[in-house]
Amino acid sequence: MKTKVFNYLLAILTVAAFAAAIVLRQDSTFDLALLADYKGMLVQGFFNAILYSVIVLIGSLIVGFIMYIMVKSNWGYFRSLADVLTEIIYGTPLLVLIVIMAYVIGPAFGTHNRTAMGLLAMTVYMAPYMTNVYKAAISSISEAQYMAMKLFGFTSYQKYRYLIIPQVVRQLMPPMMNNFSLIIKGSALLSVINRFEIFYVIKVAQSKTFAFLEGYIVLWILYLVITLPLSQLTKYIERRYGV
Amino acid sequence: MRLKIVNLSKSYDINVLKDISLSIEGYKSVAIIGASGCGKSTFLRLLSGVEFPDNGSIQVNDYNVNIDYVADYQKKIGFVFQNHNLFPHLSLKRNISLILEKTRNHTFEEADEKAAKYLTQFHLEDQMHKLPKNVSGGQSQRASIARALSIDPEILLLDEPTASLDPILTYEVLEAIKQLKNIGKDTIFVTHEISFVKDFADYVIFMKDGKIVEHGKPEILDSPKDVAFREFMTKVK
Repeated sequence: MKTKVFNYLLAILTVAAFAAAIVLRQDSTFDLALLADYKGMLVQGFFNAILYSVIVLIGSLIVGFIMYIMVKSNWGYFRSLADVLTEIIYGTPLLVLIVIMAYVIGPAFGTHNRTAMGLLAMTVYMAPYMTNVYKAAISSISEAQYMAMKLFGFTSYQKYRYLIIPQVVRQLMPPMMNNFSLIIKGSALLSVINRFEIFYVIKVAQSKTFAFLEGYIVLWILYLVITLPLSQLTKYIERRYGV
Repeated sequence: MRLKIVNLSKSYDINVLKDISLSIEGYKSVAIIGASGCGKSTFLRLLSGVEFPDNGSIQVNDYNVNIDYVADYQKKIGFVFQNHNLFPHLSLKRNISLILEKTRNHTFEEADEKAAKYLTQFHLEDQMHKLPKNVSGGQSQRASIARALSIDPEILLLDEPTASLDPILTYEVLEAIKQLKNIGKDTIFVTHEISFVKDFADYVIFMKDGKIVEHGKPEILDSPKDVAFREFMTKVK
């Protein structure tokens, strides 16, 4: 345990030294004070990014579940439709999907609400990944387990309440949290349709102050501030509740 | 026990059980043996009522194992699976107490106490708060036997309880099963462990290609009449 902590400290120091070297090697000066005026906007952008990500997480869990039902449907049409949509989404860069959704698909349905369209694009983009999460979680319950539930005489409600859902949720959590991390990172792309999140604020600040170096570093760190604790939390959940 | 099987058949893509009939009475512990794929596990599943035959009927003691009565019948049977098949998100103890509490009308405290008692009987008192993944295969399988017994079944069915275990764990589990001999439950089991059959069974059924080829008291193991049975016995020795 002690060596493990030591090794981690050493690894973190290595990366920090590398980062310091990078900053020192820049030709321009490094002055975080330049961004001081934008602190309020950055905080707001930070929380907006989290808010957008949570909305997309919930949305993609719902759409992903609908797609799961389509994949498992007895009707070939729904399975084919899910397949076609999945292939198209897998083949499309998120950036492209956001732009198309906001400037092409949205207006076709008479909406110019770019926030909604951007979030919808991200939701659609993440849905097949969520479908896979459901597939893995639900298939982790074996035939033999269903047989045991039946033999011991559990009612349908009891099966779901005590045996199926608790297991599915446990299986679901770690990959879902990984997807959440993907969503947060992907939310930076909402800046291309000028949504008010971290990357957008940084771009605005940079264009006014020319603090490019500082901006990018702050940008980077802000994402790590969200994603690193999240991945630690994921690992904790996996250890604590993993099956 | 009384076991009456009439013209039983079952097919999936192929015929797994082909017109089996059998009528025995007065034995306590029946072993079903045979090579892999002979239909013995399917036979046991039909005996448990989780699946139903395409044709024929099954009577175990006073129970007709068919769709109308199966729920009552299943309350009376304990089933031990291959690979223990404990619920992986519940501790060994909760695996037992949940069943007692939710399906056998015990209070939480009664169920908890009873679960602990059965696990202790199988020397798992130090393991009962652990999840199945954190104990050995042999310990899980012993817990699974404790689970099957905890519902106080009239008939106990065991489906290759040692199939996935190494020799040491197999020994451990078989020793645990031998305890069952003293508690006088009717037992039907499928196994590959011939020495265990000799120790434990008082009736043996040998199956091949979906049929019962030979059956009788354990002495038939020493002098098999059927060619396939003789061949099987030389291979498993």
